[in-house]
Amino acid sequence: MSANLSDGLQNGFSPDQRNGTKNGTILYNGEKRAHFLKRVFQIILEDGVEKGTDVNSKVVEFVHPEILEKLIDLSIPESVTPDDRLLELCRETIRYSVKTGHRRFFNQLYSGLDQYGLAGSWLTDTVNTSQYTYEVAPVFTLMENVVLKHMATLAGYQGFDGIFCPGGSISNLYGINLARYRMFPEIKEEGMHALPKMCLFTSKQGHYSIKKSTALLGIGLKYMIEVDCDETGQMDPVALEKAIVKAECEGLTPFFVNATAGTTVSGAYDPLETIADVCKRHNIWMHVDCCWGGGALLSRKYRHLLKGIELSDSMSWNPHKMMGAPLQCCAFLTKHEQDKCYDVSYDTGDKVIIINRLYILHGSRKKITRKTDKTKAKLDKRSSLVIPEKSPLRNCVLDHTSLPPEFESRRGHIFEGRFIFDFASLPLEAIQCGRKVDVFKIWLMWKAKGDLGFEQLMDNIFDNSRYLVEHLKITEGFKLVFRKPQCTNVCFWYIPICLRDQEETPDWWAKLGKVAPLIKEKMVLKGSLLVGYQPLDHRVNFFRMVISNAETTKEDMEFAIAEIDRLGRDIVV
Amino acid sequence: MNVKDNTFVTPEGIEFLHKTHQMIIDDTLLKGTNIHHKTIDYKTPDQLQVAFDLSIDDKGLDYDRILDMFSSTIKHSLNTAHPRFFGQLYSGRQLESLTSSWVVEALNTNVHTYECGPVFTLTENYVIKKLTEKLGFLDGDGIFLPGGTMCNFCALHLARFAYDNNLREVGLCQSQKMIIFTSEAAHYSVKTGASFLGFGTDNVIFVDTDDSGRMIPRDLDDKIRETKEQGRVPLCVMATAGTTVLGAYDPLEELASICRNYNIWLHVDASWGGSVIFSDVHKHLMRGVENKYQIISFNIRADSVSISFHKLLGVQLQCSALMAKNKDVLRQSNAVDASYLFHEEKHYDISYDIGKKTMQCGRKADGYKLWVLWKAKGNDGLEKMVNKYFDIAKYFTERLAERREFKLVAPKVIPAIKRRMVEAGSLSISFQPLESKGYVNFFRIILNNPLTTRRDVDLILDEIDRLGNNL
Repeated sequence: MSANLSDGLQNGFSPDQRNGTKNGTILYNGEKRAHFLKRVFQIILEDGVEKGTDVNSKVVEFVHPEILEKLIDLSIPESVTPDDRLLELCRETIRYSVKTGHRRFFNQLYSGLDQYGLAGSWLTDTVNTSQYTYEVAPVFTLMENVVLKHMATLAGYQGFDGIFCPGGSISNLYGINLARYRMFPEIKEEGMHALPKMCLFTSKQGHYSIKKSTALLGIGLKYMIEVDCDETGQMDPVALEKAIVKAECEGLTPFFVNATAGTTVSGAYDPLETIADVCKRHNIWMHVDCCWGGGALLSRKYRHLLKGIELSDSMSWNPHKMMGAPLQCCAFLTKHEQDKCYDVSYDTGDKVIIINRLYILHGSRKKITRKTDKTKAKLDKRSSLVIPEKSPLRNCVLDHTSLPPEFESRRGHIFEGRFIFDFASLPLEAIQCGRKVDVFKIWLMWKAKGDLGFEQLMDNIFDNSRYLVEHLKITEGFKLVFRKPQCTNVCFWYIPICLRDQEETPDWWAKLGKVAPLIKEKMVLKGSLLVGYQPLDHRVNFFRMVISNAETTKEDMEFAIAEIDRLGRDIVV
Repeated sequence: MNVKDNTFVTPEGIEFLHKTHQMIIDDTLLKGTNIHHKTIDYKTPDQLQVAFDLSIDDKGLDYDRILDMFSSTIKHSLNTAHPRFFGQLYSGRQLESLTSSWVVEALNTNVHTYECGPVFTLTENYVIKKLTEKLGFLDGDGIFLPGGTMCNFCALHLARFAYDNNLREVGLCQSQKMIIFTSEAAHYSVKTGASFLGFGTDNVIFVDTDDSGRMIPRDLDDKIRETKEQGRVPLCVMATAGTTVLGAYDPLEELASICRNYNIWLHVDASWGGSVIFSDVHKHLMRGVENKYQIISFNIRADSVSISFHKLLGVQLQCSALMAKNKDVLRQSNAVDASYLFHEEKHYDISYDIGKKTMQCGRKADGYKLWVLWKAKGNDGLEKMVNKYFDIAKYFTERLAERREFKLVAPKVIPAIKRRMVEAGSLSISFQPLESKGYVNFFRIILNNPLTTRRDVDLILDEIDRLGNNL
């Protein structure tokens, strides 16, 4: 064996340097290592934090990928790289990265740089533990409970359980999985092979993670049904109900509706109360994806946007978006109360949520013939009474008789009378084993700011976006895509001089669609501002300016408008 | 106007960051790794809830109070960098990786597009390229995912896609039964994955293991054959390189031959043991063959491999990657349209937008941390690190064999010692029974902390003896 113990780590804090220790403390190769940490910290502070948030510096120093690959020496060497070189690389990394904390960064749904959040995430990374048992993460485990409970209370959930996830996509995945389990508890052991085809619903403007999850969970993309939205991007509840009925008629089992509170592009809040009614009528799990728009819950002035969220079964809410926590910080919550079913209740890794809730499931007048004895026994035991449900659309379902024979039994109990089942044992298992500690930074921010502090920030974000809308209305060359945005996404076209005062023919629109990419390129190269653009349905490319940095001001709104005008007015398409 | 006036991080804010930084160095890095300090100042959940003010109120707090909070957070947290922490599969502190994670946090961005994370997408691409080369996937691809479990999920997803890509469209309802093979010693995420992805845990078949915990190829072959005879579809084999408890490496070469024979997907969950690819001395373990001859062209005969670098290498949590031999399968199986992120009209080469390869949307820049560590240590440094851990483990095994009191312990003794250990805070080691092998509770010591020396290893034995000899 070539290496032996005394070799230690050449450049690390070798154990053999313990000779130079004071009272048993390992000084990281003496002063040198401590010095390295200090210098990196200094670089981060100067280049990343101070310069990165300075309005006079660039939001991005854009270089094309092929060139950047050569500018930064990416290669892995055979032996150690000296500290000075590493520090240089840190500097370069910061230099060519996008300054998402810059007040002129409006490109994504996250932005800003909160010093509490940053300090909290540094500390988390240094303590470097995993969020799975109380044993290895005592403080953080308790904090997770506190923060999730606080969030659940804000949403109006009476009971709750939840977990922090690596990204809102994973939170949505949890939601779908729980809903599927509620409908078919046998899925866990037996899989989907023997089950009837099931389907789920989301709006056309819902996030694409629902689609990814549908594929991952084995449900099949075909069975993700996209519901139409109105002009503002809100899901149309009538269209939803029609889609549900249509699916039932086709022999599918609808089990999940995803409502969005703050859509990614247009920032629309789906009408949660009405959707909850529809879900209740058809006995479907309602999940609210408020990853983006959930921040409004903190504001007395704007929380009405999420009216009805308390009626949902589960929700996902990302504090790393509107609330400005460092990435990743995403909560999944369900209102179904946890029943501590095992002793080690503080160990969140194998978290199990037992749901004790009276579930209204459709029952059958004829005997339920289920494929699984296990489930059948459960159903028989819990079915107790029949409640009549009146929905004008139900009749259409009841009249429908041409079901595929293999679903006769299953459909039977969906179409006819209703039973109440007390569905127990709905487990929310953490799908991760080790889990990064994401709670500390948001707990700390919340502790520092308090609810009232956060309310001010949310109000500021929303007020600024409203100000921006008003300003755009009166500025020549700008055309709003949505006249009255609900969340803080403000979408607009910029019309360069060459296209102004002309008839809006298809040809004109096609030309307008080329404007945003051209302005974007100029913007990126200049580095003065970062605003994203995209097409949506029949609408050609338009800018989406996202206000999610709590520290931006009205002046920043004015700057953005003036800058886009400067960059774009003379464009010829 | 002065630059400082323009930043919205105020002078007080900067000072606060400075103080936080000082506290991190003093309390967690210096004190936290001091062998005279405890691995944890243990309190029960109830005690801790009293000692620590968790509540969130209407009004906020000032910087000084926040710093107090930090101090008590550190005080009551487990010191995973302590040289006497052997409790989990992650431990220690690599300074380069620590500082790189600070950089990542300060830059706070996603790696779904080049637009949002230019440096981070490039470093991730580069590291993935190096890793696929190390594994011998000449035309492979990969992605960093949040943890080994997600990697296993994604591997199952790939296996299903490779078997029949139409299943992504039509789902599993009314489909054939698909069977996943794994060993009884494999990580529980295989089962969780089977449940989540719609296969069902009943359709996970456990292959027997030998005394050292390795999957028995013959048994696998038998079970696959049986499955086929019953008209079910053998979908994939989830092999393990470094099992969670015993640290066993499945005999990959033989498993690969079987999988090729039946044409089924082979995934290697090398979350724990995969870092041996950095060591010429130990990388043969991954192939599951004896290192009889000099390996000239090393390659892993698997369809996908996942490795968690936050484990053996000590990169800051989370840092896990999934590598696939087929270049296109990740993108094809995960990509869906999201015009707001991945539109075609961008002014740069959009092949650098790597977000389409994952089931996530936003994703942290985990690959950057590995890149910095690797860059800092070089190939040599990582190799030495891996070799050192194996050396200490060997030494520990030898010492253990010399001491009679460490052979068999009664099942009740271990939990009792563990309790005393946590209360004393001198050591952190976990224990478990292993029923499949008929073992009662035993200690599992994980050696992957750069601070651990032979002396620490001796201390472990003395300390367990001291805590336990009067039971």
